[in-house]
Amino acid sequence: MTNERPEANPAVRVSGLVFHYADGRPALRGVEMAIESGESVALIGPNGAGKSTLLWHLNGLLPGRRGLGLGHGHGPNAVGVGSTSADGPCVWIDGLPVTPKNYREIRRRVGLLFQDPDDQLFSPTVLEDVAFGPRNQGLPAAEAERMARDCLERVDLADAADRVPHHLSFGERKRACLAGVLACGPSVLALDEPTANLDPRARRRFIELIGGLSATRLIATHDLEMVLDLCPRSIVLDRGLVVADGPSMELLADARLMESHGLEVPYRLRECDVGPGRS
Amino acid sequence: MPSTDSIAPLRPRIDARIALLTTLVFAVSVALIPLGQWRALGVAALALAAAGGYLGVAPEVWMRRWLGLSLLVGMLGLLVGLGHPARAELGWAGVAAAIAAKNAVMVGAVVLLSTAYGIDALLDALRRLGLPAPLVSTLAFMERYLHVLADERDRMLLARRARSVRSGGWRGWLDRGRLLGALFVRALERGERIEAAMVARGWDGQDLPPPSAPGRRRS
Amino acid sequence: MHLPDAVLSGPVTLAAGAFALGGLGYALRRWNSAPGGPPSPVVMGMTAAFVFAAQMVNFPVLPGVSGHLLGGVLAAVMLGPWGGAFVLAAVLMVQALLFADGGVTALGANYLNMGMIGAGVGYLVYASLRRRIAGPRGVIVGAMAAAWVSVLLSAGACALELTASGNWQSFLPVLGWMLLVHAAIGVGEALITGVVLQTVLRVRPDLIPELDSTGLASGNHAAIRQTGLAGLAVALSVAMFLGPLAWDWPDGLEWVGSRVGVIEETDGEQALSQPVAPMPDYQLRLPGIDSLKMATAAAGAVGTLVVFAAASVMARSLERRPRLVVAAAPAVGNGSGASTIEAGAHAID
Repeated sequence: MTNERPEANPAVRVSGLVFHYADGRPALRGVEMAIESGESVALIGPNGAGKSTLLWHLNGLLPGRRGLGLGHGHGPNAVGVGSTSADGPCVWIDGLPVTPKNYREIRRRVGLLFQDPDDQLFSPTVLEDVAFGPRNQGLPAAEAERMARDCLERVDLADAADRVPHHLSFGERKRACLAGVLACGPSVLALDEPTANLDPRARRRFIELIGGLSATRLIATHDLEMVLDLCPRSIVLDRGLVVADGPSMELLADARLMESHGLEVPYRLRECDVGPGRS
Repeated sequence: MPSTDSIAPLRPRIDARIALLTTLVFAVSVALIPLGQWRALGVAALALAAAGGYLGVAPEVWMRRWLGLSLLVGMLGLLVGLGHPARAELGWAGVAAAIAAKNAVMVGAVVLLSTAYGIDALLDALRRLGLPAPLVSTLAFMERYLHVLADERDRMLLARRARSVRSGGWRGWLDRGRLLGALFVRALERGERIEAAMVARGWDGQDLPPPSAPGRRRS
Repeated sequence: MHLPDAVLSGPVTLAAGAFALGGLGYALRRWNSAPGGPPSPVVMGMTAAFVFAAQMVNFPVLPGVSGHLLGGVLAAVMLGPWGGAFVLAAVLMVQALLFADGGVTALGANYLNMGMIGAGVGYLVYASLRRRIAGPRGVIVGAMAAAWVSVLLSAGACALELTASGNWQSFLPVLGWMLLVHAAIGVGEALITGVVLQTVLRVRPDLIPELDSTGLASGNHAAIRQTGLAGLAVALSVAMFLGPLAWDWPDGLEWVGSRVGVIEETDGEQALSQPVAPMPDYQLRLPGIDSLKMATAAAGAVGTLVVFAAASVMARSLERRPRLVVAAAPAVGNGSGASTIEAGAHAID
C-alpha cells in the first residue's frame, strides 16, 4: 500500500475486502487500496479478476443486497456472501464507512457506470432516466428535470431528452448513462468498461468526456491505450488480489507483469525496450 | 412479430387516453350488438371508416392484421354457432359470418388505435389512466425491455441456425426449449443488473417515481 | 387460446370481465400482504417481456399445428401466483392493444383463462406437488404437472365461455373438441415449461424462489386448504376426461338431433317459438362421435403419461449432473454472464 496517508481521509479506502460468490468461489481475497481525492486510477486485470465486483462494493451494492429483485429474500446470487460484516466495514468513501446505515449518502457520493447501457437506462424517455437519480434524492420534479437537462447538455445529448432509449445509438446510450450518473452529483466515479463496444469515434468522444470530469475516478477497463491517456496511476487486480499498484507508465510497460496477468503492453509503449521514463 | 416500429406512429392531436377509452367503449358497444343487426353494425363500421380516414390509417394495415385472425374467428364462430339461438334466423354459417363481421369492426378499431398511437404512447396512457401500481411498473419495464429481449431472442435463433445442420424433429424442439431457457436466465440476470443500477442511483426498491414529463416522447 | 373479439356474447363478455376485475383486485390485495415482500417490478417486467418474446417462438405440437409457450405457470413458479397473474395481465394487455392478438373485449375472459387459471390455479398444483417432492425434482415435476393441468382447465373454461355465448346444450361436444386439441397444446406447454426451468435450475438455481416466501405456503391450515384445492383441480381435469365416458355422452347430441327431427316436421314460425332455437340444416351424425369420445379420453391418458414420464426424465437428468453448469460465473455487472449461460445451455447435452 504505497498511497495510504493516515492524516487525511482518502476519497476511497478499501481494506481487507473479502467476498465469495454464491457458489463459494472466492471473488475478492483481501483487497487493499486507497485513492486520493481527485485522482484518476485505472483498475486493470484479466476477465474474472473481480474488477466489477470491487466496483459494486464501492457503492454498497455488495455485499448483503436484499434478494435481488425476486423479492423473496433469496441470496442475491450474483451477489454471493461477503465475509466482511463480521469485522466491520472494509470500504470507506471520504472516511465514511460503507454500511447499510450510510447507503443513502454513499450512493449520492459514488456514481457507478455500468458496462451495458441497457442495464442502466430503464426509463421510457432519456430525460426521465437522467432525472431518476435526483428524484431519488428527494428533489422536486421541476428541479430534477432542470438538473437532468444540465447533465444532458454536458454529454452533448440536450436534444435527445425526449427520445426513447432503445432508439439511441450505442454511443448515445452510453453518454445518456453517464448523464444519469452525473445527475446524482457524485464525488467519486466508478466506471465499468466505459469504452467497451464503442466505435473509435464514439470511444474518443467518451474518453474526452471522462477526461473533462473533475470527480475522483476509478476506471475498470481492458482499454490500456485509454489508461495511458486518462489515468496516471493503475492498479492491477488478479484473482481477487491487488498484484501491482503504481504509475501507469511503469506498470503498463512491464511486459512480464502484463503478460502474467492476461494483459499486454500497449502499442504506444512497445517501441522502447524498457518502458519507464518515456512519456 | 408484427412490429410497431416499422410504422411510425401518426401521433394525432387527440390525447391517447381519450382515444384509448373511446376505442374501448366502441369495442364494447359493438360486442353488445345482437348478431344479425346488420344495420347497427354498418353504422359502427362507417364510424370506424370515418375515424380511419381522419387519422390517415391505410385499410391494408387493418386487412393484414384481420386476415391473420379470420381463420380462428371463423372456427370459433362455428363452435359458438353450434347451438346459438340466432341460428334459426341466420343459419349456422350465418352466425359465424355475423360474428366474423363484428370481429372485423372491433379489430379495425384496435388496429386504428395502435397504428395511430404506437406502443409507447398507449402504455403511457394506460399508466396515466390509473392502472394499479404493480401492473403499471410491470408494463413500464416490459415496454422498455421488450425490444432488447426480442433482439436477443432473434440473435440466439440466428446463432442456433448457423450451428445446426438440421433443426427438425425432437432435437430441434428441445434446442428451441433450451434456447428459451437461456433467454429467460439472461432476462432475469439483466433484471438483476438493472435493479442494481437503480439502487446505485439511490432507489429504495419500492415505488418508481412518477414520469416527470408525460406525453412528450418521440422516437 | 387467445379468444378474439366478438366470439363471446355480450353478457359473457361482461361477466368474464367482472370475474377478471375481481381476480385482479384480489391479487392486488394479497400482493401487498405477501410475507417475503412483493417481487420487484423489474423482475416482473422482465418476466413479462420474456413471456411476450417467447410466445413468438413456435413449437410444432402436431403435424401442421404449432403452439407456443403460454407462460402462466412459468411466471407463477418464478414470482408466485399474484406476481404471475400480473405478468400475464400485462402480456395480454399489450397483445390485445397492439397486435389485436386476443380481443380487447375478450381481455377479461383471456385473463380468466390464462392469468387466473394458468398462473393462479397452476400455482396451487405446483405448490402442492413441490411441497411433497424435494429439490429440483419437485420444481420440474410440479411445474410440468401444473402446466398440463392448467392448460386443460383453461380449455375447459374456454369451452364454458363459448357455449355460454351460444347454447349450453352444445357444452359437451365443444368441451370434447377443446380438450382434444388442447391435450396436445398442454403437453407442449408442460414440455416447454419443463425445459425452460431445467435450464434455470442448471445455470441459476437460486433464482427459483422457495415456496414459503411467495405468500401462499406458510401455515398448516393454509396448506391443507391448498392441498384440497389442488386435489380438486386435479380431480376436475380427470373428471373432464372420465366425464365423456361416465356420462351418457351422446345425450346432448341426441337432444339436438331430436330438434333437427322436430324442425323437419314444422315450419319456421313454430321453430322460432321453441324456447331454445333449433338447428336447421345441420346433420348431427358427425363422423364418428364415438371416436371423438374415445379420442378425447385417450388423449387425456396419453398426455398425462407423457407429461409425467418427461418430467421424471428431466428431473433425473438434472440430479445426475447437478454441478455441471452451476459453476458458471455469476454475471456481476457485465456481459460475460450471458456467454456462460449460452455455453451452459449447450453443455447440457
